Amino acid sequence: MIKVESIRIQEFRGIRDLTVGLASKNYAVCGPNGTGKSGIVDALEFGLTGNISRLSGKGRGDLSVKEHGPHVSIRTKPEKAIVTLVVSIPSLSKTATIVRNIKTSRAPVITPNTPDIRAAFDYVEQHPEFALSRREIIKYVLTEPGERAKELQALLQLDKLETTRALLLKISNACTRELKPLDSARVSSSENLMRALGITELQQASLLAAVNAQRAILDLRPLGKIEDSTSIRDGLETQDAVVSVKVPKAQAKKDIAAATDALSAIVSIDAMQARAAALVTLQNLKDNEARLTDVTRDAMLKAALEFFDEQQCPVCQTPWKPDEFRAVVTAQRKLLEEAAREREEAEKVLSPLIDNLETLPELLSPLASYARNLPSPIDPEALNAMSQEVSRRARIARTFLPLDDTINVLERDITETKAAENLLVQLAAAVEALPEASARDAARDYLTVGQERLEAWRQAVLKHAAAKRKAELAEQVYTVYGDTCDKALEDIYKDVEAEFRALYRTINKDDESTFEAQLTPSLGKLGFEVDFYGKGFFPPGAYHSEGHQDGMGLCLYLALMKHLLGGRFTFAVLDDVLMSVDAGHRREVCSLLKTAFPNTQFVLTTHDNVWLNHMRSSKLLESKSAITFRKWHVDHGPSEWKDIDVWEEIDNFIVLNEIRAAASQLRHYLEYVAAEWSDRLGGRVEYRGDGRYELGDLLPAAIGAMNDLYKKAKAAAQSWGDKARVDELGTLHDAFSGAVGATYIERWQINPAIHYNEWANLRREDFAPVVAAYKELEHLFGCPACGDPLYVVRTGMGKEAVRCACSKVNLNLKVRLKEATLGR
Amino acid sequence: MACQIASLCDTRLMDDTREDKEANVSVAGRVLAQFVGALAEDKDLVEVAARLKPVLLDGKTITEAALRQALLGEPGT
Repeated sequence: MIKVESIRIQEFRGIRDLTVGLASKNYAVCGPNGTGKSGIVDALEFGLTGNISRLSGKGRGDLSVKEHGPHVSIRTKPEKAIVTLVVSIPSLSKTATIVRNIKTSRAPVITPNTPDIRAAFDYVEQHPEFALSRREIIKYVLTEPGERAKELQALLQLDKLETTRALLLKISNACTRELKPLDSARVSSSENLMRALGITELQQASLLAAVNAQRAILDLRPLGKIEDSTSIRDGLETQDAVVSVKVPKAQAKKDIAAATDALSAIVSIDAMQARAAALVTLQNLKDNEARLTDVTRDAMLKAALEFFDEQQCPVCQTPWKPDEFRAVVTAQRKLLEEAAREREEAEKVLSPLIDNLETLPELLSPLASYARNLPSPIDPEALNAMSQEVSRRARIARTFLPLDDTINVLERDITETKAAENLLVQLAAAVEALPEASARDAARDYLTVGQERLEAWRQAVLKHAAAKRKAELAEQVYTVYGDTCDKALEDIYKDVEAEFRALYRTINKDDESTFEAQLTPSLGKLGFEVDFYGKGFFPPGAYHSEGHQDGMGLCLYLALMKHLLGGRFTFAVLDDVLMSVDAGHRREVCSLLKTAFPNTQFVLTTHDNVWLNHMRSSKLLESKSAITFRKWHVDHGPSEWKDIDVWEEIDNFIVLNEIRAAASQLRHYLEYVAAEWSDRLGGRVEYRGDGRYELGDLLPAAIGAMNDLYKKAKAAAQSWGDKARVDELGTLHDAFSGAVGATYIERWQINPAIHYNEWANLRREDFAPVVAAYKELEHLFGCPACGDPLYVVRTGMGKEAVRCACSKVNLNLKVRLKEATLGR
Repeated sequence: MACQIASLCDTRLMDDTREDKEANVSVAGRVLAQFVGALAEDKDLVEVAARLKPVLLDGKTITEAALRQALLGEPGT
């Protein structure tokens, strides 16, 4: 996978021409809604995959990348909508460039165009899931079990497994189907053989007895056993006067008799009665034919019950009450079950009739040959016509539906029968007229025809055995596949579950350090339940707050990506995915991304400037690794706020006389930094049941903590007899107290009920001193050298010192032991 | 026979100690490799596993014809 060094976006979505340097590091895109953040996300996705998921796929209607990807001003010139990405490829230690325009989005220009670099870009293209929006994150958490299974399987790219499963099943079913006609051919060929040999069972002993009797007539040595390659006419070729007979009389008579019997069976009284009974059965089914047709839909109804999400029909999306839906589908299945049973009964009635029809063509086939080879040949057309007609009728009856067709073939007499009967009579007479074969000739014909049919039977048996082996093999492989896949998927979900649990515990260690979760795969669904403070397992949306759900979505996504990409998870775009996460957990999220995924470059978008500052202060982002959009114009695209910090932003509002905006931003920022100061210095905030701490709670706590620390530092210096240090600390404390006092010139920030009204009334000249006072106060909460906020160093339960990141500030809080002891 | 089994087991990436190699294969690829490995453990299915291995694990689209040919040992068309 890759990391992004820089991106240039030209005439793409809402952006005219913008270059962003990400330097293969974590990067944030910040700005109010509608200022162009998503344009960067879309450009990253397009540059790396050629697609913009926001404009394609399910539910996107008439949107398309081709038509709506280019900037609206050049929408007829998609070749001008270009994204250029310079990327680093950690695994290759190389950099490369990919340039893609919307007109030829499938043919990016890659430089250098070497196989290893192309492979790296191909890999990214195959993993578009590197871009994650809040809409997508939530679907993993809140979606229905059936849909979740699909979403997660899509993310893990498991569709190949389902395709393979379906193909293996299809092949297995096809092999089983192919076995049936081969089985019929095997049975038929064995009957032909037995008839030719005049035996009633195909056993070694009876076969040998019959064959050796004929061989004895020809003075051929008896066969000891019949093996796979044994020829029952072995030795016959060496005898004198061996000529091939065109119509072996004895055999022909038997075959004509068998065919005549089979033909009679079709038109016999018994057959007529069976046809009549079958017709009654079929006519009775006529009223329910629709249900018979629907029998094949039972599998679909069964699946509908499995995929029902307790809300909508999985097929047509019609809303249903769960009990009603199940009742309707179950009733339908019951009707179908009844229909399936009725069909099975009817097919049982039909089966002997169809068997008779299917047998006849096999028996008529050699007769046609005899007819053509007689000394005075007979046209066998009547037999051929009969064969074709009974085959057609057998095929229709086996198909069963539509019932009218089957009823039709049963109702109508076979008009070809009479001609076939006449021809059989004619053929029998002609065969009868043939000269009687001598005993030796008859024995020779017996062995010749018998060998032909033995060979045909052997072939049929071999074909059937081979087909059976294939069917068994296909079924066995399908079973192994199912078992392996099910086990593997279960293991995958267990791994993901464990990873998810660990990640979620990390970001919620304050209140859910023993959090548990269950991902339960079952019949194409994936259940997802989470522990709610030890009170049981519930769906994620049941009791957890939206912020916690956002956190769950992110953790599940990260767990899946870790599983999917392993060490190749080097790039991810998180598009406003943590908008609901409360301030208390943002620090942990930043820490998680930074420490658990140190090799992954995250591009994060947010509309919240405080969130951006939080990412910076937690070191998830370097100070320059962000772009801030102020506003957007259709003709110019987004306007960037380069290198402007919060104070400059507020100053700008003041310059523009946008006091309400300046005050809002100041309060927002102060809430953030006051929380940060309180946290670093150990400020005490009065507990609030709803957990919503405001500026009036946080700022006094931070100021109080700082005052206490100065007092402690002075007392410690006093205990060590360091007068100079005491004076120095006194000066610092006085400056701090002065700065705090300056902020009191406007008390608006303490009471939200008052300050909201005050904003409307404040003028530029009134508000500027407020800003200056707080700016100075912020300075005094930080190090004058490195600017980092001061923090308390603790040892056990005690506070040891106040320091900063560069160690320029170091206020000792420990008093001399003797003094401390006396003090007690 | 033994060589074939050894060769097939080599594709079972869950046993592969090289994490990079494992990460380079898709999740589906890993599961399919497990499947081929499971077939190879059955002495009656070793040859089937050997034929299925390239079809399932070469990263190309799996077609019914190719799968059937490999599964049943039928000659290609």
